[in-house]
Amino acid sequence: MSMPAIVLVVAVLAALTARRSLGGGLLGRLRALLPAWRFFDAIEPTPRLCVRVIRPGDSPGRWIDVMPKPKGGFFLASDRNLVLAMYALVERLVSSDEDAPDAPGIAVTYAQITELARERARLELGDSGLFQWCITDHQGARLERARSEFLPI
Amino acid sequence: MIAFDATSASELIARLAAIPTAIAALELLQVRASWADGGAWGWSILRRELDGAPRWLMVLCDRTLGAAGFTAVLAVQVASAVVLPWVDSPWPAATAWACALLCAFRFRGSYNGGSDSMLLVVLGGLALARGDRAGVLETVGLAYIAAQLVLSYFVAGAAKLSQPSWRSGAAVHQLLSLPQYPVPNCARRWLGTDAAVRLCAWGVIGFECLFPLALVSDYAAIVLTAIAIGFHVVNVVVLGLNRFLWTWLAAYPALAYVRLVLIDS
Repeated sequence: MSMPAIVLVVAVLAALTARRSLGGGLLGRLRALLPAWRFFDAIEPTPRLCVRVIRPGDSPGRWIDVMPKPKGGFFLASDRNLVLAMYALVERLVSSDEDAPDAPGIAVTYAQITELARERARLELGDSGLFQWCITDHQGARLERARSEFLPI
Repeated sequence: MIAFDATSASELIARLAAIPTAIAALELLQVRASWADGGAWGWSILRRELDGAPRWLMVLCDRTLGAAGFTAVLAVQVASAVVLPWVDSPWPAATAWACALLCAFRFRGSYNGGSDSMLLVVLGGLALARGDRAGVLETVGLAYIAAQLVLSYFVAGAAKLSQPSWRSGAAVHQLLSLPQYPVPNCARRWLGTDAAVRLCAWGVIGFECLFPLALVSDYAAIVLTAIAIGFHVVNVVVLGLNRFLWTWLAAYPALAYVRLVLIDS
């Protein structure tokens, strides 16, 4: 069998194989070695991470979008790629692909998102007060996917 | 006819791969606050997922993936990128590969999605090729890069073809409306009609699905490579995917080698 034929057979088999999650833990952390290459196959609305704060002796404020606007350049785009990583993190919490509900990965993702929200809340509050984050979908009606407790800044 | 052999393919890959290798590390150094202690990707949070791992592994991870250790890993990656084009040895590519893998491991699988994977493919294949000059592993390393390059387009195209939203063009509308991509207003205007998004969607599906033809014909290889470079440049401008351009570009000499040397001969 010639090389182009081999590559074509492998490519067709790879394309027909459903995407499988490697879960969290050690194996999931090595998934960059096993690329899926299914870029933008199913495009879902992006979940939004919002935060609200309570100043001491006050009631909860309005929900504020945590994610900054992406910007960057042709060569170096560190801020933009950080924003992409932030969105990927939020998607990871609300999608069931990555981790089983009781996996330690969920708790880690939850803690990471709490840190993202805390950073944004600190801009509003300074160093005292409480904050709460929520993740919403924008599919017609606003659908809430996850919400934290009120947490100390 | 330009003389093109495995050595010149490896040299070209090394020169081109130095760019995304350096970019990946420099970008992370620029956002150090996000992965230093107290950041959302701080090691004190990320290490919890490895609870239960062998003690020696935890000690190794704590040393290399904590804020100080990981800064050193990224510095080594930048240094490897600098010497990659100039030192004819497998070690710079192998070192950069190890740093890139540590980075993906630290960020729970990947930091920048597919570009992390392709960087590992290119650096791994290059290390293999440079470690066995004129030997079988040189061919294997370059063929591996070329095969993954072809797969990356074909699998993406076939996956899109199976989606009704891509066939109707609706997926392009959806993609442009995602808040994480800095789509310029002019791109939104150009793709403002149903006909334009359908044309764009079928253009992408057609190009990606037909990419394996680059292996069977010189003309197809030239045309598809030119389209691919344009495709990646547009992705930088429209979606901001800067790393994908430089990483995929570094894989193309392997495709040229496989097409011109392995298949033609």
